[in-house]
Amino acid sequence: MALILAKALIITLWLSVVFAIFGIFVIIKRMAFFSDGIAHAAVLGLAIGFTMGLSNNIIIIILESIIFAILIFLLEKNTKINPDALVSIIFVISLSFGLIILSSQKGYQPELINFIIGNPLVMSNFDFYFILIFCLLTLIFIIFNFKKILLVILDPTEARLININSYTYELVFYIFLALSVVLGIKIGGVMLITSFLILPPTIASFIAKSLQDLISKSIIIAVVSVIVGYMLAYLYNFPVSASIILFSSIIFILMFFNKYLSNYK
Amino acid sequence: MIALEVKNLTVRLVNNPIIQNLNFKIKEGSITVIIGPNGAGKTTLLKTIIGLLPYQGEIKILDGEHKSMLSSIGYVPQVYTVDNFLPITVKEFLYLSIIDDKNFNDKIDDVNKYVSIAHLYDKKLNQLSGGQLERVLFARSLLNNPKILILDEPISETDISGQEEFYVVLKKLNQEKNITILIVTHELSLIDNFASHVLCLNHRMICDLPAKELKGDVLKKLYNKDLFVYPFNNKK
Repeated sequence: MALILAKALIITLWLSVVFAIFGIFVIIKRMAFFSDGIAHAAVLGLAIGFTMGLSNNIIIIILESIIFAILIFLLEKNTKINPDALVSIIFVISLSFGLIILSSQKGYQPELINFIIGNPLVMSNFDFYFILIFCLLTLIFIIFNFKKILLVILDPTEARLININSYTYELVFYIFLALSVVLGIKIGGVMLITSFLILPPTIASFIAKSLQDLISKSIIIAVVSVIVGYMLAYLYNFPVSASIILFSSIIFILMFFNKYLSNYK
Repeated sequence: MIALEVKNLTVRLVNNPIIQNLNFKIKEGSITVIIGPNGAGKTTLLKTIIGLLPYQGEIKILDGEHKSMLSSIGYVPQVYTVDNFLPITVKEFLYLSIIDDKNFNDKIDDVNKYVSIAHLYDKKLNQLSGGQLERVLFARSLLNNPKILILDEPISETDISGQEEFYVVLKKLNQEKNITILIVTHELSLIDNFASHVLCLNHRMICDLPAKELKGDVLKKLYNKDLFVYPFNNKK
């Protein structure tokens, strides 16, 4: 049990660090709905995995998320459809298709519940090492490209003038974000995963004095929320992901009132 | 040498021709002012030159192919929307735009000699006044040693003393660093003693002449009314 718990905690901590940084880009680019859409669309990958009788459907879900990320990116760039509407259409098509496939499956499907609300305690060795390596690669990608990705998102005109290939960087960012979201489903589930992206940077923005400060505080808040969330889950037998999100939500509410009430003093 | 050459340029936005068959050349080291009424296509022209809009025709920068020479341009936009969520400081904001990270401190010190912004370095971008933000955007456009500076109504929110200082700095940059300047402005009174050349634009080229030769009758043709702007209304 201790080993399972330790592995779950390690994975959740790594993913929460990735989310704490990616969340900054997601908020600036107003892509929270994209993350939500990709997470919900992953139900199709899960359903296909079930139908094919696979014991582990992580690869199918990853392939599906990459295809959807590229599809949304290309349609966003080449059509005049509102990006939110685009994500919404792709997400409902794949979700409804996935639900129809799942409804044809007989018997109880416990993995489906874990998929919806998340459960890091249920994880194969393959998933553990796969997510660990992915987090390392993502962090390396972010460390070496943070400045360029931020400029592409914040000011594409300036990025273009200093010879940054905005198109490629944005596409790679969409793919990495989609991958992080679907792998994060293991811990946060389809329902809660976007909160892992949004809450830490939003809380940090209330107190950060600079961009560097925002990044470090977002990571600290994410890590503390995970540790406290695990303690709450262990002590009171709560679901892990809900405990983490509930704790960060309480910090958010306190910080929010502290910031806005102090403005009225 | 020619800094910018535009041949038969036509730009359409949603199938409407905003710029039609434009031809002009800008000499290296010159200061060119673009004037014209609202909606004449001035900002569209600048956005096309910096590679943001598709076009028909030809644009050459410093005798080179358009897209490959964009990094020799520094650009100050007409409007810049600051993200209120992001607590980025002025120094961090400038750092994002630097091509060669290693010499960042030397470069901002060099820029600071022309545009004084050192007192703003630790301020958050979302806490700057409109005039301070314009100063920061101007400083940013100089970071990578541009050969051509393109400015789109860059000081609309700057106070009068700041405006005067801005034009003095622009002239100094032009003289000391031989930077070619292309600026859109509505301040006609500045043309006479600041610019070397003036382009009058109203979807097509109305005038392309040395600044000293701009006269009241040209302005009347451009704006469709008599304008009493010193010194042009006195010129015959």
